[in-house]
Amino acid sequence: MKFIFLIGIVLFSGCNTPAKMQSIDPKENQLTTIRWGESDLQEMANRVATHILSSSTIDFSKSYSFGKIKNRSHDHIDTKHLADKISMALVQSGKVKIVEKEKGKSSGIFFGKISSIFKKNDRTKDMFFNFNLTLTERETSRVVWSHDVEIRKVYNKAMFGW
Amino acid sequence: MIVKKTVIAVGIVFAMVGCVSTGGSGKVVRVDPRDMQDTDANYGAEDLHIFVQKMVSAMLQTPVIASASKKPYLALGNIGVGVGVDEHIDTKLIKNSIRTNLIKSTRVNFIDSEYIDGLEKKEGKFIKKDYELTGDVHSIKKDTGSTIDNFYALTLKLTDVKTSVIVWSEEKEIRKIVNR
Repeated sequence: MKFIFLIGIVLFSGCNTPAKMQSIDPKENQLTTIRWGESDLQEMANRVATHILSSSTIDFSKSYSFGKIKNRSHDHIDTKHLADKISMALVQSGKVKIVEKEKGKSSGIFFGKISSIFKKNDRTKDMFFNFNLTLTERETSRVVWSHDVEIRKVYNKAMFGW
Repeated sequence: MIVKKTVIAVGIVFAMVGCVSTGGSGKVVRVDPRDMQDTDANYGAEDLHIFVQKMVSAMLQTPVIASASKKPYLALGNIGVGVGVDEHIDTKLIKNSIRTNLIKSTRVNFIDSEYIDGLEKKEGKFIKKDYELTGDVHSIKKDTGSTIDNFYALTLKLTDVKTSVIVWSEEKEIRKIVNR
């Protein structure tokens, strides 16, 4: 009987290991939940910036500014942070001239929208994010450039567990 | 002795199951958003992509765009939601994705009407739009208990702003059936 008791204690204590603090590189893509996370922000900023820099329709002799990125998704997203990250990547590239929207005179403005589709049922949760960024020419209001970046995460419930 | 062994075995199983659930049951996986993977019969990312793909390729084949001597200027109008639709379908996302893909085709120009609407002073040599894109989303959902049968339809039309003539119109239907 003591033997069974011991096994029980060993097994249960294995479950109850105290929560450990871990530092993770924010640039590392670690999936813990289907909700919006730091790695999604990083990834979307990188992908969009790369696309802007390789665009053949954007005139890089002109200067541009950042307008609002609207969050229309189910999650709270720091859109200002996203805009800052993209702007920073463009400035650091040395290829694009970015000016402050209020003060400087830019020939085009970047506008963004984040949308999401969320579904869930007994077995799965399904989250889809779409980030659209456009460049609108100030003088003519023509959309010079537009790009979508998408992320989809699916949560599957385990077979066991209650 | 047999009883004891059973107790131990049951105990181990329970403890292991317990671990699974405390460790956060289930797994989050990243999937390619372009994968046509349905997690259920409700409207999802795969349907958005089907709608956008079909509409963009159909529109690029229509004579007013395919045989235009000058790149036409388009603007996004409203995509409405039909009376029977009881789930949230983001029509703004549909039309924005269509616009992005049409711009990428380099066969049409788009006017940012949202930008003009948001301006305090309407200054600038804004180009006038030639066509406006509008449409509707419809859905019919049936649930018999043993089967779920969901139907979605997107209708779009392109209207000549000067003459109000509908120069192009297309419909894409999606039907998804899940047997329980």
